[in-house]
Amino acid sequence: MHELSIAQEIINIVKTSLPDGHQKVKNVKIRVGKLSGVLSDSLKFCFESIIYQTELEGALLVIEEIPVQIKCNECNSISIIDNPFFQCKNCQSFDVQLISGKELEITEIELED
Amino acid sequence: MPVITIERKVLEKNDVIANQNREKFKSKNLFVMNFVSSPGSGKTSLVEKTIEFSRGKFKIGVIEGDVQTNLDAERVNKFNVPVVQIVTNGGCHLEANLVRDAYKNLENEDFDVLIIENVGNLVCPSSYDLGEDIKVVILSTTEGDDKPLKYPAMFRNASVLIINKIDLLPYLDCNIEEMKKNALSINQQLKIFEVSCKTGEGLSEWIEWIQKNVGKS
Repeated sequence: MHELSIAQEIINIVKTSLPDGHQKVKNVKIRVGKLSGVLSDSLKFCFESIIYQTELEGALLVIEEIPVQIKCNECNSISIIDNPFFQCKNCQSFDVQLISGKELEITEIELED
Repeated sequence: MPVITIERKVLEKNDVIANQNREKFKSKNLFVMNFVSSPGSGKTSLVEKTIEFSRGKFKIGVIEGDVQTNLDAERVNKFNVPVVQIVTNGGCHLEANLVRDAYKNLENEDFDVLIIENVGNLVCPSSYDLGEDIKVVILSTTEGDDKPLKYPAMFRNASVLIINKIDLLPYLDCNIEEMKKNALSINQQLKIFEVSCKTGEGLSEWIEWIQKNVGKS
């Protein structure tokens, strides 16, 4: 539901990161964790809607989805989980810490040649 | 192809303000709780009951967040505690700057615990740090025991789970043990309280727990 404001934040950061007299923006690369509360397709749609008929029109939002990764505090194994259970896949313990999945970061802006 | 590498958090602006809020709250020795839940779970009732049951133990200030109206602030105002309403006008969550501006109206009031009642929504508020010490997620028995599994991010980010409306259990298919099991499978550290804001059951334990945290932040 808040993808529109997230898209606006991305555009604000991109605009302030561009050098003077820059070429057209081709791609904006971001990392979105599966536990970030952001839906990638919706975010792309909002991004395209906001940049329509602006200097950024045509830029693509390239999203790298980051899986939810946990580390077990008992056996130290690392598991990737694709269901909501925060449980170690090795020893079944629920005593785990989150090591990735909450990311919401801009990593790169690619400009045209 | 020219590439600009930036590595910046999308919500960095919010996070910067949230950290300033946290510093400010710390300097005032406040224990700050962010109440989150779906609409209708009883957030405002819990605010009211927490005020009522805490009389003589600690003092509370409230920031109310709603999409529209100041009805909740009016409800809380009847208890004679400092309260300020944020109306988001359609916004589905509170952001740190809204809390910063709202708190300016409470800065000269004397209280120990600040309750921020977020907009009723189990998705978006989990992404926005407001500068709170803890998130308290409220879940009512009428919402079903599988709800934690449907909104894992919120239950993972919360420190406390309040299961409200336990007085209705005899009339519902909700299995409270299953509800707790589901919540703990997402977040083993969750501190769980079972309460009824209608009958008052379970609220004393909740108040005692808050009291242990007052003055510690």
